[in-house]
Amino acid sequence: MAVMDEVRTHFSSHPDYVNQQLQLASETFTITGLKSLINFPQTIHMVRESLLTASINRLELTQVFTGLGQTIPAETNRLISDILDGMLIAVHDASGLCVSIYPVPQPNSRPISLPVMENNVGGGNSAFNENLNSNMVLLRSQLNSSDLQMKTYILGKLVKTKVIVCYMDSLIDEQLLDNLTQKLESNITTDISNMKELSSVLEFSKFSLVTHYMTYELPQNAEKALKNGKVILFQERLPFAIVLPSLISDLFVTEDDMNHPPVYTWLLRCLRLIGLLTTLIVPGLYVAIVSVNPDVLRFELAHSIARSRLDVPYPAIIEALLLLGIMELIMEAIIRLPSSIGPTVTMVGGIVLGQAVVDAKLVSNLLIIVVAAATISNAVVVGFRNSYSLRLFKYLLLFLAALLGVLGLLSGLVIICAYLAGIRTLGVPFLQLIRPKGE
Amino acid sequence: MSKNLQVSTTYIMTHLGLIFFLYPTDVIESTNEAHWVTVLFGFLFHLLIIFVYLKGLSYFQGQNIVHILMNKNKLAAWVVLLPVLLYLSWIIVLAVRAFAEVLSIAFLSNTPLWTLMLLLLIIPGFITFHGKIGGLLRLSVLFSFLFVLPVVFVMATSFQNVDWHYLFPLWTGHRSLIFLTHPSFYKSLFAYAGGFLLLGFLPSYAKFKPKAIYWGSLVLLPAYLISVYVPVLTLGEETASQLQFPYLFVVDTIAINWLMFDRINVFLLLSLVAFCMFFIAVTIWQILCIIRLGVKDISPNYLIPSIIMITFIICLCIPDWKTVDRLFQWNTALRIYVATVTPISIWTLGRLHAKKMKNELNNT
Repeated sequence: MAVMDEVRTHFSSHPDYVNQQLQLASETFTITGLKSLINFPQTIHMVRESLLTASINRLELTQVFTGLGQTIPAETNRLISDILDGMLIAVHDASGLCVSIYPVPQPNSRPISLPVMENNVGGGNSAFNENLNSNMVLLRSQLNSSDLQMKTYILGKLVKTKVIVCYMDSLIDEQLLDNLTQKLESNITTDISNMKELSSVLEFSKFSLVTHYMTYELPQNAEKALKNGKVILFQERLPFAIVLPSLISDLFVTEDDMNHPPVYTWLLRCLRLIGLLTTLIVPGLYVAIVSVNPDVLRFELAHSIARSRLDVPYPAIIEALLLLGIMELIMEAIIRLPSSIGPTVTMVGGIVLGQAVVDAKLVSNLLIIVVAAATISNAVVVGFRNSYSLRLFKYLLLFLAALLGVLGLLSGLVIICAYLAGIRTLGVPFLQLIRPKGE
Repeated sequence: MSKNLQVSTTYIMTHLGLIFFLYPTDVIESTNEAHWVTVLFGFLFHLLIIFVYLKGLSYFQGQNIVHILMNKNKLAAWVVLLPVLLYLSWIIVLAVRAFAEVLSIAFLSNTPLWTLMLLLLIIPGFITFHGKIGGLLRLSVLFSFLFVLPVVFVMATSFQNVDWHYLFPLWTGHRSLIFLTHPSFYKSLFAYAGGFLLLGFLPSYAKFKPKAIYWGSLVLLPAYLISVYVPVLTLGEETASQLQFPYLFVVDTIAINWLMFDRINVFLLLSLVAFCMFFIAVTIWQILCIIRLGVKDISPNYLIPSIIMITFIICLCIPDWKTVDRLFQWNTALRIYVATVTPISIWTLGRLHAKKMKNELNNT
């Protein structure tokens, strides 16, 4: 068959291409596919078994054959794209009938396992992974509702990537959905393989300092987002649900809170808010108080701070930048290091360096406390994408505080608040609490 | 979608920033006793103009005052709008200059005044530019969440040294109304007339119920009373009238043992700076509205920097506090004109409009 010859030529250099004849009674079938995507022994067994049963029972063999999968037109391009999608193509040699069959796939992902970036205390622990299908399974079993809508988009020109958009039909804000659909459809030919490219498809500003989406590994978080009227995107090979749009409440609220008594839920949220303010303000406050406005402090306190800085030879801003810089380096290094060496760095950074820096009179004792408080409270905020923004905003406050003291600190806060107030994701303002609404 | 909360917090924020500085000085200057009558008179005046203004606006669904006035006679529109524009520009200049002075006295005596003025202009410029009106309204909610707590805390602690005997006499017969003849009383109306114009610009961007504003003004009343009465009750009328910023002075004298900060007026001042920046941002937005809708639709990319530049240059030309005070005094006439003519003209137009609609409805 000419079409099959063309397909064979196309895949001739592919080591995982399989083309096999299957003889059943008087009929010959050609089976073809990629063995890297298909478990061949099991799939052939499955196909042969049903054909064999049919021929023993004297049924019409071609009818049973077309019943195995979906009949497709015998076009070279169609066959190639189906084979690349991991389908098994079977051809009846006599009639030239082509059938695309769902095979037994090769395992291409880890099994459903514990989350890596998200920890929770009271809820379920199965996390999304790289496989789109198992993500669907998790979401469907978490949210068994006829209201749940799923739409598939295939994006990209050179490389096709599947994106699934999920939302609750009765709860979604129309404007949000329209914006999203319009952006996905108008950029359907853009190749996406990472979050940056997806962001450019959704036309988020490149210079945005706050994340426009949240990523969740736990299906219960995704479920909550859907119930609040947000949209979830699953992109092939990304092990999390992308929740659009992100709101300010995403900094404080996780679904896991709901597994505690309400009093503790609210206390935990307040704690996160305090953490957020601490990590933003404390380094700046140190610099402001030491270098510009020592008069706002009680005399005893101002005196003891001044004494601890007696031997430090440079201004407070340099001192703070020095230590914060080292802290950032440690945080980045811990991500890169193998887990067997990680604790060593923590120890060196935390104890040895901290003590030595003070002993060498390079920074004051108080600054160590300040930096520790800022770093710890940075981790309190929900979602590591949000903690990145805070890590950056802290420096804005630091520099302004060095220039203008406590007034600079306030100006920084006002600027950050104004920045947050002006941010919109797909037409939805960032500064909202639970349910995203258009303006 | 109605934005009652956002509008009423915006309304509260814009006023709170103006109350604690000059207002107590002017009220204490205008009368010797029974200050509550003065405060209440001002407040009732405020409620009255807001009532007339909102009533007038309610005849035009979803139109702001520039639309309303421009649709009628252009010349008559400018008779109302030009003073408004002038007044708004004037209060930006005054607010920036006065606040820079206060900040310089309170925290940064070594920092040159122009840096503070630039700061007080650039940040509000950024707020308006980045957020537009939606951002401004949302920002007011975030501000009230972050900064109202310190203000309330300071207000509560400022009663530390009061002597309640100074409260009396509560009523002194016709002498209680003597403040009406004093120019300082009219100067004190600044705290009432600074932000109310905003309500006329909002309808085309956000729906709100007038009730939200009246509730908001009830929140403001204690702030007006406290700002006047705390200095009077702490120091007595005689001493309080000698001070430039009596409320700030009283707050500065408060000592709290458990707090690591020595001066708690830092909290008050910083929160008020935030409110004042918000007020300036809102005012810039109003000027923007008048120019873009009334004159020419210029892009904010050019308009906001030029407003900032012009204001900054004018601010630089004001040499000292005496001039600021004189400018406040001169501003009084314009302020009273704007505060009475604008609401009344909107109300009159509204009545005419309603009558016309009714006639048209009857004819068809």
